Amino acid sequence: MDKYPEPLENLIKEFQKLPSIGRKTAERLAFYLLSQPPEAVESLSQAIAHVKEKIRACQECFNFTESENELCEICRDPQRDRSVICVVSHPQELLKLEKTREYRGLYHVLGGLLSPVNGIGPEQLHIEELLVRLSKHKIQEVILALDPKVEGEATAMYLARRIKPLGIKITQIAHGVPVGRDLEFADEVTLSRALAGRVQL
Amino acid sequence: MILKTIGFILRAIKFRESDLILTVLSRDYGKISLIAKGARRTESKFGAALDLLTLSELVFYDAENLKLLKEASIIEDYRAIKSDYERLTLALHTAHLLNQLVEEHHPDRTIFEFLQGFFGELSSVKNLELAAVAVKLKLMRALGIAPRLSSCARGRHRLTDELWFSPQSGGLVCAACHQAGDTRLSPRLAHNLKMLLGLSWDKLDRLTLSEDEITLAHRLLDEFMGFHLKAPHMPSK
Ligand SMILES: [Zn+2]
Ligand SMILES: [Zn+2]
Repeated sequence: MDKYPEPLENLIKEFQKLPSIGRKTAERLAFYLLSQPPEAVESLSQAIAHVKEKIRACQECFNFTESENELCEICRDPQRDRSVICVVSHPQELLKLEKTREYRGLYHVLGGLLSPVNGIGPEQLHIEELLVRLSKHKIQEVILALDPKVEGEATAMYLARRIKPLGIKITQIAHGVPVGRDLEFADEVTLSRALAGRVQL
Repeated sequence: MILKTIGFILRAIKFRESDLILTVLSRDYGKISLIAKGARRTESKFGAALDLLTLSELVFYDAENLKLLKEASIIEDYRAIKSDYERLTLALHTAHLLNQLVEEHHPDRTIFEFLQGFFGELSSVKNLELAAVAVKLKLMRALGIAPRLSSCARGRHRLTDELWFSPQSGGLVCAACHQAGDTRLSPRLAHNLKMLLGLSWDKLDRLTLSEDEITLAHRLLDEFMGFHLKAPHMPSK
């Protein structure tokens, strides 16, 4: 026997399609499932089947939402400050920002960062939708919370250029030294950003 | 074995939970791939040294089928390029094109110096449209496959004002040699292509090309690169 029975091979192949899962890990996952009681396997397969059908993008901000709602929880929340929009690349970052409990405004999820090299131009991101939101509603500030690396900066520069003519204040989260670290170990680029973004005490 | 070199970060792909696989154009070992463990974490020791286009000193552990980055420190960040959208876009396209055209593990100082020279001058280049054409010409020269622009590429004849460009033949061809499928071009554009190849980055602004000429130049050079290197097309903007 040079192969496992077909259903097992199929499962292993499916696992292998997942990011950073090789043949060995795929086999381990498949054997694990095989050893589990039917209910446990059923509940996993239900969860997988439902995620695609029950989750969709918010019509306004492109955050995740359950499919019975056009708008996500944040866009529906009357308590949120509707004059500020924080721009992020993915819903994962939105969730991180929410966990800070520092921010009470709305969000806009771009769906990625500009990357001319990977063929991701402004059309591939939810940039036009953001501009429409900015022109439709009374927005006073747009906060950019994008990765402080080349693609994030390219995206920030592009957005700044498109948003400035609308006369809306545009800010960017501070870039600099991670909290809890020694300055000594920060590189000069990070430190010079931190210096440029200094605040008055 | 522990090795040390300096190199440009051409590409960074997410790998595993928090690692990156970097493609680096190194001065001493040519194009190499390095695994940088934990590089995506905010507390990573690599800091900003692994940002795209940055020139960094890299210390890595070299095993047979794995190169593991141990230390990285910034030599040049090219802030002036990265803070200008058009320049950054051109620099990214150049890095991408170079990544496609250069094979791994072929040490070649000429290509490294091409990129270092270009990034060094890019912040002061005025006409970026011309620079984008020059990038293709100069990169091909660095790779040793510049199109022949001084004499007929098919029969080595002297060129007159009647000119065609033939990717298959390797450059300009004369009236006697041109074949169906070759593209006619003006003596002015042919002359300007030759100048773009020869002039240093700081002198490019002496030339002027119309928008149509630039579009045509990109098309011909893309065809040329595609024919000689089987490279995918590089967007001209
Ligand atoms: Zn929403
Ligand atoms: Zn000829």
